[in-house]
Amino acid sequence: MAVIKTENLTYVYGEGTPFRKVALDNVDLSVDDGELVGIIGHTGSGKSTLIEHFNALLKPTSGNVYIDGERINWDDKKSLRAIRFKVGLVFQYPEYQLFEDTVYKDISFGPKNMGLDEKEIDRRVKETAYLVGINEDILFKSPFDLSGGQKRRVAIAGVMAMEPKVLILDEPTAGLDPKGRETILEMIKRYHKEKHNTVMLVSHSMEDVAKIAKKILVMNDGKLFCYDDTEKVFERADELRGMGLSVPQITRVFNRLKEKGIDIKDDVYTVDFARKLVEKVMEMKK
Amino acid sequence: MEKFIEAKNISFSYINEMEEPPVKTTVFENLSLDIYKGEFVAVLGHNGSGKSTLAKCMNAINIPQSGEVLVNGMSIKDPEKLLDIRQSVGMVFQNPDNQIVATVVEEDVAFALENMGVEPGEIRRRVDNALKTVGMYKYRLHAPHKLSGGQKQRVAIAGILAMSPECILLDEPTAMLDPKGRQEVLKTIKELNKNNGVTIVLITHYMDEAVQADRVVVMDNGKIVMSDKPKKIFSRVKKLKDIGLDVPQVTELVYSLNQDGYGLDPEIITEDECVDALYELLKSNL
Repeated sequence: MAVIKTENLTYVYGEGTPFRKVALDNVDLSVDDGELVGIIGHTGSGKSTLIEHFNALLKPTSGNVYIDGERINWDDKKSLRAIRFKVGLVFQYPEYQLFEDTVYKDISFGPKNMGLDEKEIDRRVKETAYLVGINEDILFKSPFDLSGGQKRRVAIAGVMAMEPKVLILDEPTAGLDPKGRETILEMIKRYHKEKHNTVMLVSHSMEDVAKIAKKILVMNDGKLFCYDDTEKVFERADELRGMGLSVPQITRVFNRLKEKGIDIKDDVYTVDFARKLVEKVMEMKK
Repeated sequence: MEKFIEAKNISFSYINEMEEPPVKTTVFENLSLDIYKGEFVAVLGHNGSGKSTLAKCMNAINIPQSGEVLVNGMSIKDPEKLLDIRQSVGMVFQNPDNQIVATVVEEDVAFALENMGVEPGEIRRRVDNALKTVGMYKYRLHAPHKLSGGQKQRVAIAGILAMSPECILLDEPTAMLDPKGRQEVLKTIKELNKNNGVTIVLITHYMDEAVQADRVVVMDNGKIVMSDKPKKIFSRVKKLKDIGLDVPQVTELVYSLNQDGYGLDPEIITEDECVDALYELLKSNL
């Protein structure tokens, strides 16, 4: 069952001005419930414009968006509020949006707006704090006293606590050190595993996407270039390079080994898989 | 080689006077580091390890509470030398949007020169040269906000370059860029270093960028824990992981294969080296 579906989705910025730009061009897409999707594309390819349609922040110039089977109706303002509870969007550098005086209050802001009762809010705050690795003793501190990585996790928890059917994160690891990146990715994986909700993540890091996404959506110049399984997408290394993207370093290594005539699979995109593959080949030859 | 920047036994603390009594956070104590003329140094370290604070001590944005920093023999504590120091050591920050001030690319590049009172003909010449060096000359009449992230960062670099600095400090200049933008910026940095002899200090979280430097300096909790050629640094996989850093995927693959006794060269840090080593390994078994 498709949780997000678009039909001929087109969005034009600055219509009627010299700066007119087609940001989305006839995008037809269908994402099944429960997927973990990586969204990649060069700067200006339409990634952000696309995800901003998924929770009704932008109104299409033409075409339709369906969330959970229901067409978004921009004339019915009340229904838009429900969409925003269903699709949670975490912007880039979400820690700049923290504002409450305690971590607890900040995480509970979304659930409170949903009109949940105190008990349920409390359960959600504690559960998501645990999911993102924030200890209970931090909950009553000011979010502004935390480290950069912690702040970001609190900000993400605030959206997770709304338990959206679809959680979308725009570059959640940007600007973090390798350990911080790893922590955020692990936490997204854990959330996906425990909640079985759909998660979409926009990233410029192919290594990060390769590590967690089962499927990849590639945007190029406002068009949907492809939406497919991770290994199928990285097989198209040449085309990705042509649009200013890249594939993980390890994928390039195995592509080149194959070009040099070594008989080996080349749909390799994680270090773990690469090691197992080399060892298997060596075993077989013995 | 001649020393260009000498940091000798410097200590630096931030003091938060909003608190009562004021809270002091020590970033580093008794730290020493030399940067040689013409060198390309990459600085690694997790968030909060003191990299940026150290970089800001190198062009007198931060003045250490004790110790001495000499830039080309000039003390950063000498107010008379402040302008000379800032002109010979330029700084590029992470977010391109925070460092562009004008509404036309070439005016932005000319900003510092106008402040320095350089005569107009000379400004024209230097701005053109700087824009040509970073490959942005044909965009000289464009509006900066219409450029991509990588292009904006190159304009920011051109603005520094126009002052003809001997050294450029870059604090995570590629953190917000897509793969293509990152490549453009790194290529520009390397060319400035090789062709124009500009000393480069690059703070980064990207291991594939650090691999291309002459020397890598690793910081952890305010201390310099390693300083060596990239090959020597990255072959110490376990040590780096212990302090929350990462290694290139190819180095990690070689390391994990060597754990199982494959005996590959542990100093493999580039894609080319890895392809060659695996080719030899797998070829011998075909």
